[in-house]
Amino acid sequence: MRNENNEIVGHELGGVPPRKAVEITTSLENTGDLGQYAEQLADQGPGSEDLSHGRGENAIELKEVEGLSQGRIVLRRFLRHRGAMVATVVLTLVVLLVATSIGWGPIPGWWQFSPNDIQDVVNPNGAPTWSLSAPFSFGQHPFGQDNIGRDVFSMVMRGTQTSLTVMFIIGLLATAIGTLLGSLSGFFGKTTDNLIMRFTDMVIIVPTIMIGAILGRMVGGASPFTLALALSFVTWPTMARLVRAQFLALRELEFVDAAKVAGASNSRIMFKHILPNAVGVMIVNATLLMASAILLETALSFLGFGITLPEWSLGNIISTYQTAFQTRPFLFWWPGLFIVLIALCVNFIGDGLRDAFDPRQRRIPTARALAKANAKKAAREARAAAKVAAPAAGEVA
Amino acid sequence: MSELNPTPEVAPGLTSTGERLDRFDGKQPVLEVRDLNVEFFVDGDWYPAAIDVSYDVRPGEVLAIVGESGSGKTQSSMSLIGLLPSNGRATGSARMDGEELLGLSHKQLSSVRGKEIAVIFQEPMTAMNPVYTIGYQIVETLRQHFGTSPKEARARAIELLRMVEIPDPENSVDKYPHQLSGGQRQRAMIAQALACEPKLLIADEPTTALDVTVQAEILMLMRDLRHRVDAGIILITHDMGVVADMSDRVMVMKDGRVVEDGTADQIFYHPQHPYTQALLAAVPHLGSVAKDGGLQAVEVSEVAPAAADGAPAPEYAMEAEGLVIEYPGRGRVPAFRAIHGLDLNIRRGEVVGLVGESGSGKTTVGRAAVGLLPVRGGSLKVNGVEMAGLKGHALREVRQSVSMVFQDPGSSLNPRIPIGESIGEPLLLAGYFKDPEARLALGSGAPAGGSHISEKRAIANRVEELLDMVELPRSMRNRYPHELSGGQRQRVGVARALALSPKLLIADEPTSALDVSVQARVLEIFQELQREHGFACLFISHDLAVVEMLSSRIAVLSKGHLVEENSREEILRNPQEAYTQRLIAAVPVPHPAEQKIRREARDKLLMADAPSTLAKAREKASAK
Repeated sequence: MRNENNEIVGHELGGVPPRKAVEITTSLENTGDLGQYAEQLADQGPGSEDLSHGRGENAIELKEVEGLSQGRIVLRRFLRHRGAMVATVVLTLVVLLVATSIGWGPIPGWWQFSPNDIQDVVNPNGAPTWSLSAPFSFGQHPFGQDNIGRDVFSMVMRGTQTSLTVMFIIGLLATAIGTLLGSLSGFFGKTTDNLIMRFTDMVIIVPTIMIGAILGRMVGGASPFTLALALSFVTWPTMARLVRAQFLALRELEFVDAAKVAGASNSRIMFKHILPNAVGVMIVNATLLMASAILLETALSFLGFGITLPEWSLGNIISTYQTAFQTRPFLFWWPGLFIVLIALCVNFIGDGLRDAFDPRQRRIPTARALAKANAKKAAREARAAAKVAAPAAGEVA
Repeated sequence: MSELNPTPEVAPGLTSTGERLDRFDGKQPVLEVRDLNVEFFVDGDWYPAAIDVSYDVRPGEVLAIVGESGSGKTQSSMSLIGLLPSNGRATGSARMDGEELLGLSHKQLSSVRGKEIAVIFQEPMTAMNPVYTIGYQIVETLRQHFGTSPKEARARAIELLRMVEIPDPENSVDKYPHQLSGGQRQRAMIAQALACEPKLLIADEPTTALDVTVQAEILMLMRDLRHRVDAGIILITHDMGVVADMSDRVMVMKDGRVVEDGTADQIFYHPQHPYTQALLAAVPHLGSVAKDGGLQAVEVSEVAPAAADGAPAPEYAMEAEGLVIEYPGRGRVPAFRAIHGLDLNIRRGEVVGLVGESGSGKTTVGRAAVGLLPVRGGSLKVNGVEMAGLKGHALREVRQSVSMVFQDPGSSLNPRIPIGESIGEPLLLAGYFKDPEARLALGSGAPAGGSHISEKRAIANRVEELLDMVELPRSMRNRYPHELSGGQRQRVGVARALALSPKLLIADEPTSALDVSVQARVLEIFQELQREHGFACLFISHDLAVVEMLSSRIAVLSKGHLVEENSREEILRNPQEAYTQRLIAAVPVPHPAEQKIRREARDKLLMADAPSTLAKAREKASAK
């Protein structure tokens, strides 16, 4: 019983008057993190008295967020999300590989071939040259060659580059358009809302792939930039709807009224007060939008409405060689693998972000973490017991 | 001495058992809790929410567990029926009729929940499923535990609804939760809780979400019921008035520990622990100020106008004449008139309390005064400026001399902005510090060379000054709202409202979301600031005791009409209107003996009130 009393002191540090200073220091040592309650409580103001004040309402929940801004809390949760972290690493590696191997724009890369060069076919049928038999080697054409001797690795690299470019541009541009229209619609309501939302409905009811195909034919063709631009104008509606919903909910909160009373203008309320609070939903949706963008681009290119030769994209590699599926399956597998990899990674990151932004979500501790916490608690109790025992022994002596 | 060594007070849990409770001594306890510990796993460590809690509950006894939020009172009770959040765990022992409750499997627990132990939750709107009728939800409980036929169960449900005095139970049984009023919903939930005749009833703040008058009715019902059903009741609350009204035994919890435990009389008349004493002292006691004569507040109202600068300032900070406010209709929904022709004046430097039940339109008046709602008819002048039809720049100008403290400290601060920036926002937007002369005029205690420092620096100085005023440390400037407790957040709200030294402050239930002890502190600060700065204030609250502390005049509002308006003393001592009388009678007082007298008078008043649904229901019930 008594050994715990030292710990009680730790809780009740509140606004302990100076004469209890000795006890404060010991209990801070004893209880480690518990001492932080005290700091928080000490902030309660000079008026508080020793035993007559509690620790305050949400002391335990506050433990997790002490001294951290909202952004840091989110980051911390994201870093703990295993799936999202693996996906981030993989995606970064893919981007690095793609960017360095065949170079970006005018910057040359370390890979010797470019997608449209024609070489001699090394292996029969252009099969991949890498071999697992020791010593492991990549050979000249690790991903193989097509029937006229073009290097598949450089093709896939170039294609991935294109697809990633399209993905990021769509992700950014569609988010921007959607956010702008959604926030205008949600904030002003009434006629503005009606006009914007009916327009959104109009875009949403026509199948994306169809408008995408028409726009892609008209402006896409050779350049991934123009295609991405065109596709951004058909993929924004989900974002607009989400942002609008967020605005509708957030504009009813009291801090918006408080800003109005403080004299804030409409644009300040929209972009300084409401938008930062909707950013979680926006980021999550933007990643999911990117994942669907890469699939849309590859689908369009596969159908021949997106990127067309001599530009490469993952979609048109597959479409170009679809007839060779039986004889040269590797022409198929590599671009497919990269599509799946990228889409999966982006989805996982989106998942991780969603979890990180959700404040209600509580992680169920793993068995290991539990064992660790139990050990920590036992050690704390043992230390407290020792502290109590020591002075008691001294008194006896 | 005793303060230095908390041991004797900390764990009296079992020591006082010997001389405990004559009346219930003979009975076998339904629930025995021994050394109950509840812990939460946060950030890789266990944090205790309840420590070594021990108590007994006997049949027919009401045990009140009192404490601030965060004291572990709810979590320790919820752990009994396995309703802890996923990161919580409970150890120790809790025996119900000799059977251990802790560590039961899901399946075993579900046979205990509802049948042996029932819970009345705080918020009836969210605790009942909105897509099912209340009858269905009661029938479901019955059929789950007893397998009664649908017909029988329905009959029983109607009987239960009659028992909790819901008017017209035969029809009400098929109503959905949203079709009932707050009080009726709470009654329906009590009926559901009583459906299986539980041996133990846990009431978690059963009346906190309700109006005082409704609260009085529910308390009356619960007192009635405990004599009829022989269940032990655990009443979890932070309202000492409710405790005085209901409980036989009181257990005071602080930071997860039981600090004091005894009969209601012991706790109220001879509190031992300083925390209990502080808790009791913090409860605003209706009638305490009016008895003293309330000299201070009157003084303020006379001094303040004189203190104002010599300019020909309007005599009134707020003048409302025949004020009409409507919420515009949407589509087929017609416009709702929230305020019907209100006349109310606030002199400079005067604090006027605006009281009424929820839905009476008191917040609406406050919001109109800061221009958040348009004036539909009549006239509303704030600091001499007519608010009707005011827009854009002119409105922004008015808002520099009027501000508002909001009700909910959780949502009134932008979670993405550090509080220092929130407080400084009105200053930044008003552009006061752009012009050195205006800066001086505001009376900011800027240090030497005040007129040469940058705008940013000047705002930062003023923010620090404001934080000092509400007694928060300056270092808090860079914290985010989620790092602050409710009381601290509300103080930030006050600081922000005072940033521009307004002439009129609208305080919209600033303490209704806070704990009693925290509320006392915030009110104290508020009172000091008002005295010091002499701003006029419209103090909106449903709590008469709070309004009494602060205001020199009180206006009572009901359904958008002004019922009565008079000086504080007149309203409290000599209320003219029946509505005001009922409102005053319904407030529980933290003093068992006094409360008993008040309660009897109140019950009489409630019964005598002819149009009261309650009386009708009783008549009907007795006729059958």
